[in-house]
Amino acid sequence: MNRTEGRRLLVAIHGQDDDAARELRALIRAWQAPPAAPGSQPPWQAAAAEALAELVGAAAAAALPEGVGTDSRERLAAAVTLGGPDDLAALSVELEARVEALQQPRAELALLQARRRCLELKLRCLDHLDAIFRAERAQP
Amino acid sequence: MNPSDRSPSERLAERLVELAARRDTLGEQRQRRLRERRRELQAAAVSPEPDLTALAARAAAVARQAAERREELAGLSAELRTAEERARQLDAELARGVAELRTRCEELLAGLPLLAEPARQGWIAWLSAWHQGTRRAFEPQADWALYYGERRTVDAAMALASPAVERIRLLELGDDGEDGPAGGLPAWQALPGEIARQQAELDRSEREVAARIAAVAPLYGRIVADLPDPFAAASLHQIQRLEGLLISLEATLGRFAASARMERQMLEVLG
Repeated sequence: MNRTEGRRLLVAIHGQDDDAARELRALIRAWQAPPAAPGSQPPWQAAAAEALAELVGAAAAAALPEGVGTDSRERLAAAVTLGGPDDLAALSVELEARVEALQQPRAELALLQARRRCLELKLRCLDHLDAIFRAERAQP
Repeated sequence: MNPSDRSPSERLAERLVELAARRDTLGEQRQRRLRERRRELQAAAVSPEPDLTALAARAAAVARQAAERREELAGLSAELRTAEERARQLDAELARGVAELRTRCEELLAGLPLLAEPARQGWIAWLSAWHQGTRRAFEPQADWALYYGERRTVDAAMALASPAVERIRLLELGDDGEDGPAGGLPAWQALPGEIARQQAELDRSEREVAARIAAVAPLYGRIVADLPDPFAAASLHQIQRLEGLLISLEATLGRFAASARMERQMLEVLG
């Protein structure tokens, strides 16, 4: 288990009752157990990956402007720590699809606004034509 | 005197006296029975006299029972208060225990690896590729943070995160440019309403233009029929080009109208 998953489990334990105490004790037992041996990589590579992910996570969090909600921040952090580069790429694709879906009505709105401006211009053209033809008719 | 010696009239008189006496006796007996019956009825009509002694005894018994119950209740209340106090103490103890356990969890959490296994493998693969791409040896370092800081590794890795960061910023906060409305998600969500409003305005303008053209078409001829039709264009780019044409046409017609107005005023002055 990694820190992100652990944090999720810990946050999910509410209250101060027997159940909470039992669940917390279970977490402590699990987290005190010796960690499972990392895959086939040497430990220094795991340390290199941990250090890089920590720095990337911090940089990504800092790159998000103020006003971005907690859910998005947690989602980005989880992509860095749970899935790594593949997860970040998948998250980008997913977010891009969301933006595109939202931009569809925006394009429709731009079309409507442009058509409306054209109709207003046509009305002004008709006003000018009225003025021109009135002047023509008034000539002796 | 022997009764047989008495005359029939004497016997009759005697018998009458007996009968009268008998009648009086029966009358008295009847009166007495009536009086007794009346008394019985009167006695039945009023409530019987309560047995005060029995009642007092009963009341005393009830009072004794009540006192016993009160005593019992007081005992139970005291027991309850003690139990409640104990429960409060146990709750506080439990809360302290849970807080301690939570603190211990936080300590252990900090010691857990940051990366889940797929992420660890992914970042190691990325680091291997990056080292290969920059012709560096991927080998143990004493301080990885320092190592990365000197080689702009994080900047390179951020290329993976930046598209997601940019999309999150656009979705949540928006911008003033082409990509998304300023205001982010609320502005995105307001779009359908704004589209409906714009569509209604467009319909109204379309009706107005159609009515104006129908009124003047027989007088002005082809010129009104030749005015560009924004509904003939399908794409935004085409409509924008058409808008440019209309802007130019409107300016030209405006100049003609101004000149025609001026000419008319001059003729009026001269005429």
